[in-house]
Amino acid sequence: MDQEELLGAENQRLKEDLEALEGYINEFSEFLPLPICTVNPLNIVLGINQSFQNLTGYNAIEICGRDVTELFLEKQGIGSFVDEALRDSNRAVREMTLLAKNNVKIPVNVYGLSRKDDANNFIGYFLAISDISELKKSQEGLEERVSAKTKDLEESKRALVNILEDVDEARVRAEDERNKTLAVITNFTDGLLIFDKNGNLSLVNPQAETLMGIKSQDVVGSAFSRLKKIQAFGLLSEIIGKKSKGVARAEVKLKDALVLDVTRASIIREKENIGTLVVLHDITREKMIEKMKTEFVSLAAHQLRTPLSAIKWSLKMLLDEDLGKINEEQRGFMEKTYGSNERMISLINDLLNVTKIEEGRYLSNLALSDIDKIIRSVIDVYKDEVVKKGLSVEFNVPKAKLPPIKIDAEKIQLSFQNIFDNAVRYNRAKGKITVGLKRSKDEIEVSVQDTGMGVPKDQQKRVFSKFFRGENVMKKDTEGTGLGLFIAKNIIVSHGGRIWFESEEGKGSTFYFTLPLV
Amino acid sequence: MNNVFYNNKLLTGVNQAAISLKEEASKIMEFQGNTRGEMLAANINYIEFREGKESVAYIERKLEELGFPVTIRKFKALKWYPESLSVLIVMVAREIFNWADQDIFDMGNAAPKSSLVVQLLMRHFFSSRKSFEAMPKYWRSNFDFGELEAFGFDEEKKSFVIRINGYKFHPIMCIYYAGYFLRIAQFIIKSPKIEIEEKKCAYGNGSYHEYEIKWQ
Repeated sequence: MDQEELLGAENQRLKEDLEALEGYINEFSEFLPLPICTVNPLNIVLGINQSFQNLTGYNAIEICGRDVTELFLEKQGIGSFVDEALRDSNRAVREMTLLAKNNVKIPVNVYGLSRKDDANNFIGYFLAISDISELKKSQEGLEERVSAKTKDLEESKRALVNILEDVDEARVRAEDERNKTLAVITNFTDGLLIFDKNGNLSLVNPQAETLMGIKSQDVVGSAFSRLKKIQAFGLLSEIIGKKSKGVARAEVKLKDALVLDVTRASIIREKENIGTLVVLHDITREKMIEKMKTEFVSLAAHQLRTPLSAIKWSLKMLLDEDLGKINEEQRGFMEKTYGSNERMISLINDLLNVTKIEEGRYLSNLALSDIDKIIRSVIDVYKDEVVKKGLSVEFNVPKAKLPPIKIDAEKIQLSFQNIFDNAVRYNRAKGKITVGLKRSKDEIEVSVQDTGMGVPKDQQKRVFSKFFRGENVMKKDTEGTGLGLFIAKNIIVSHGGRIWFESEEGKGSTFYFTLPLV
Repeated sequence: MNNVFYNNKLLTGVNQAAISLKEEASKIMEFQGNTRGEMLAANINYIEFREGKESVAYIERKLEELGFPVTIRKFKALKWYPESLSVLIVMVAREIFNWADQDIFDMGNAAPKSSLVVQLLMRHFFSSRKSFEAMPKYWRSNFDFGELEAFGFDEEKKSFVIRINGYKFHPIMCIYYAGYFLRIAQFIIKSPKIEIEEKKCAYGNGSYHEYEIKWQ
């Protein structure tokens, strides 16, 4: 083989190697999943691989020859990337936005590898593009979630701050209210004591200090059981120490010139008893005036009763013609005068009874008495009146004989008489009165039922008050003092009994009272 | 793309060849000289890009009709093929798709974009002048005939000249190579406007082709 043939064979071998290399490069380029482009130092794209075409949508004809900056949103970014990073170092990476075909923007990481010749001259660079859309989406999703969470937290923070501000405002308001309440309590004209739910004294206002002769700092915080040793608290112990819920009242004489109206009330919040309020109202002056009035009435009544009795007996003598004959006209006048005098005496007697009741010296002769007899005697007194009005009276007594009870017979008789008198006086013509006696284990119950005009519903609460007279009664009968039931009630209550009634206007009333057997 | 001028005219219009393609083909195929397969592949790629995938089959059928059957997809980038085949493909495309001069120019302009040889030669690029100086080597890498001379590179005047000796296949290739060399210039010079003009032509006023390239 001569020289020329050898050269030819060598050329053929080189050509085959070159073709094989080309094939290898093409296959490699086709297979390579990473989008790559070759760029010259003027930033002009010289070549791209298949992945680059797939990512951008551009083919080589459309891309090659174009300035690489046209492919990225960040024009300055790619310029500085090449100038600063690639020329100075071999490799660089930067996050940018690839402008694909049809203006599609793809977030990418751009990896650059500079190309240098044997003399280390910069002859261009490769750019490898990594699509980070999914990563970005996930980052954005994460950022959105973090942002949403941050927003939630900020809103929660704002809500908390608002709540704190509200709470602070509420605290200021509560403090204000507390100060107001304290001012009210301090300046309250009555004395106030407040015990907590454990029975410890928690507040004493200045009026209570004055009334009770105590100092707040000496007593606040102490249990009532300890406070009882102090005289003023000891006198209040009967009402303060009561276990009952609700309201209780009592008059308490702390000393000679000091009478208090003491009201004890449970402090309830949401159905729970959280303490006890005690109001001390000074009624010394009222009591004194009341006493003076009672004394005056008593004195006046006594002073009136003597001449009225004298008048009664004088008129009686005249009517009985002990002092000579009188004609019918004179008799008529005298009988009217006698009746009026009798009513006057009755009123005086009632007033005296009331004064005795109010002075607490009413019951004097407690002795075992037969209630049956007392009732019969009263019914008997009204026999003529009953006949006169055409009434029928029924008296129901138990079969077994009732035991005697310890009472002031005169007062019980008066009490029953006042009730029976109303039944006769305010009954309708030819009406009926039913008197009943009933025994239970501990007491005897007396009832008086009539068929009279009854008590109007709206006035029933005042029936046992002093000087009460029903409006319907006053229209029909101007007589009556309005003291009968007041006296009756006080007598019964003084005996430890109870008194009440049922009534319907126009149909009648039934009055009941009980007396304890022991 | 920059505005492209050829002989001071914006390239356009349909070539009205007087003689039939078959006659021309027979004449062209008599010329000797080879080029790299990538030149042919680049032209096929451009046709496909412009006219769609089916267009390649039309080209093959037409070449067969003309008596030169080839399997276009089998061109290998670095293998030598007759330049006359490359010229014939350009002419067939013009015939089938009724292309104007501008289209031929664009085809030439696109060819370097998919050239492995061009990319390999760009390794000499670290300045426009160096690349310019490497252009004769580029010709020798792509053609086994003729010669390319590059001279008159003037950065102040912003111009240089390319002269091609020994290339005389068909006048249509003057337009094609105008586009082609413009692209090479566009690869190595950064300018908003680069123009190419064939100052001398082997078919007219000279024994060679001479292109002047200017830029702003």
